[in-house]
Amino acid sequence: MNAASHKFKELGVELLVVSCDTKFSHKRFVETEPLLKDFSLKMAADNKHEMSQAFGVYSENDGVAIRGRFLVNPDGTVLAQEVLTPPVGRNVQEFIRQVEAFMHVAKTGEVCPANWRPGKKTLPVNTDAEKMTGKVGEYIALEEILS
Amino acid sequence: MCSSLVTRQMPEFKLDAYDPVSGKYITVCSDDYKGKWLTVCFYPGDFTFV
Repeated sequence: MNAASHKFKELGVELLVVSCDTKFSHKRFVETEPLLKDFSLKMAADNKHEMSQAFGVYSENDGVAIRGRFLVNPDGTVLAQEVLTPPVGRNVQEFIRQVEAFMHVAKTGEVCPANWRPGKKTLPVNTDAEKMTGKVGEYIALEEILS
Repeated sequence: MCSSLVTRQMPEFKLDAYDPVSGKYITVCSDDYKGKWLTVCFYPGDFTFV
């Protein structure tokens, strides 16, 4: 996420990372880990596990937060969440695609079909349910969705 | 009730934090992000990077 932080800045999305470590550990981690040389994200210290529990990502067995990612809109509503078990890292490109799609929907009210990226066809605003039901394929071809 | 947070209001929080840009200890809370798009990422722990 940090490596793509310029992209989130460009999109106007704040980033906050959280683990159950203390703020002192966070500081030491950033100072010592070569991979974090240019790390710029605020790191919350959830050493009492309250936030992890509230978000449903606290693992009682291991005493840690599992890998959860949440997208929240300006009204404070959670729009998307992805939760992975610890051994597998996340894919930031897919997340950026989702952020761009949610922002497009918020701006236009249009609906983004599978695989949507900026520039691709959306489904129209105020869709006439009668006309579209069972006929989405007449409006957008499978090839367009998969491209 | 659905256990996913999706479509629900983000839980409130207020925590100590470290800001690597200023090098300072700060406090972060949910109110800081009112009116803004926000991504919250949890990870298992410092020094266990994936």
